[in-house]
Amino acid sequence: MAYKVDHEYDYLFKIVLIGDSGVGKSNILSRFTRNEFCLESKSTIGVEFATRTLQVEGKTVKAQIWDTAGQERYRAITSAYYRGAVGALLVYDITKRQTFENVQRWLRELRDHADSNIVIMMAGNKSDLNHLRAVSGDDAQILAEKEGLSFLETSALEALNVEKAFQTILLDIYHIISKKALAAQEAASINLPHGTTINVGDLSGNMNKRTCCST
Amino acid sequence: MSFGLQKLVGDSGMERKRIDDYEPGPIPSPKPLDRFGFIKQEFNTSPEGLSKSRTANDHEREERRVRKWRKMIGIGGSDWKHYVRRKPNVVKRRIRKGIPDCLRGLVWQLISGSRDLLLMNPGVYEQLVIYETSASELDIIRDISRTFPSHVFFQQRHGPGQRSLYNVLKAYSVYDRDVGYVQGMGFLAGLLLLYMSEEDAFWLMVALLKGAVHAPMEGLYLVGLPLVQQYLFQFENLVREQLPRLGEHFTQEVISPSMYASQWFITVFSYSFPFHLALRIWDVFLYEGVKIVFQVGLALLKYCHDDLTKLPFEKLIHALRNFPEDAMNPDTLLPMAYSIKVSKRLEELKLEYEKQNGKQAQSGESSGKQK
Repeated sequence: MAYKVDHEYDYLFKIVLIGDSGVGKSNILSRFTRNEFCLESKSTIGVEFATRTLQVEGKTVKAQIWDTAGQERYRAITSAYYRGAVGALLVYDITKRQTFENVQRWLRELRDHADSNIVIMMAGNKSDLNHLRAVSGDDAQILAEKEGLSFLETSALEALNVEKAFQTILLDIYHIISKKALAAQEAASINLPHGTTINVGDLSGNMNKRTCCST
Repeated sequence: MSFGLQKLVGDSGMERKRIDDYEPGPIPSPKPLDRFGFIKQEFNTSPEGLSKSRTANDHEREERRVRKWRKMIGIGGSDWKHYVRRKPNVVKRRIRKGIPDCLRGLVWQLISGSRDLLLMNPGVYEQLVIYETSASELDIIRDISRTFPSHVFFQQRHGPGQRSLYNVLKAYSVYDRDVGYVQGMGFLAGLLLLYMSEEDAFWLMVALLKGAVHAPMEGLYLVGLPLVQQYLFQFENLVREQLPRLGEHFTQEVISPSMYASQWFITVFSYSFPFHLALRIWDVFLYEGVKIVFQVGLALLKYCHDDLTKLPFEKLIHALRNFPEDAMNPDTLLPMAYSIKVSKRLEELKLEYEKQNGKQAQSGESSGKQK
């Protein structure tokens, strides 16, 4: 399979991009993977996919990101993509209160369909539109703390915090993975040969495979 | 209202401009358009396909074709039904070669059965647009500027294109409140609006979704997207049967058709395919039904078969969403598509899906909760 012959990275993490329609998920993805922003973008139908490889604590990590259609009815198709994901970027639009109110529903979706240890980052996007703000940073921070999520405000347009949001998710995942690997090593009292790729789940989009983050 | 549109284009190499500064009125359009009204993009080498190398000869042939078609249709479509009854195979053959662009709008209405619906329901559309309200209005508005954003007709904020698109979608969401509005429907409506009036486009949507001539398509948009799921099941099986080596490769790389083909079905190729190809597919789709979507999908895979079987997961996904220019030439792709026989297997696979799905619906539900 792909990951066995491709040794260009040490880890491969599957991330899902979720949140209401029109909050800017696809532009966050294009900003992160291609450093592009398209004002005239089409609404996403079904799922889109992109990757980017970057360094996390000296390791080469490939982020495999699935961008999903936000409209509720599409969950019939998109929720299948939560399986095997080790991270989620849950996006709302700081200028649309309703998209923030719906964060709870998205969390429920993740609880129902994703692995329980999934790392979740909440992103309040469109921070460039501060004059139209309808969700305060404090409100979001309170929710994030209550739900145990990381939180950042982002602007895909101005390339603000997009990189940091993904970096944070990937770092959190990496920490969980390395802790688990360490625990496993100790338990087995053997050392992993240097350079071994630890399967952290959905290495080639396999939806049936369990991740090592799952319980 | 500014919504999220008051933004500058980022560093994507596009021209900087402020959308918000545009008031209704003619927009300056310095950008070159292709013959369908889409803004030409430099990296897209030939958005208008064959028209580039048109010769006088081609032009004459086109003229002859139009004359033949006019004769077949009669004045305002008066001879159409008669002709179809007498020579259904001639009609089919001619449609497969492509309906002349200047007659497309009219012929689409004739072959889809929408013209009859329009005549049987005078005043209904107006009623739906003016007097009714829809729970989907905000959802529709949110997507209006994200539907064919690179087409000159739909580009202008609150311009005639966007208004028509809104009206048609809103009318449909009232007409069928179970379907309401679902993302993807805008591309159907948008494509139709480039060839006919709002009211005609609305009735053509009704004809398709309610099944005036062919099986109803509303299942593509109903809760659970049941028809999308069924089509993907059928398509996956057809790939395995007709292109076994590629099917095996997909299984190994864990590629499922939902990763690349959902849009094909949900928007009947109007979402991301070259417009001249989408139109040719729509010609056949309206006359022969959804099987052409399967055939074209299979033909694309077949055409690119040897390349696709070599690619690992990520490159494979990319390739399945970005077919090469030569694969999307309608004059080679469509004949290939017509040669692929699917009708009988589609019927059998539908029954198989229904049988499985009865069980799946329940077991899927319970296993989903077992975390």
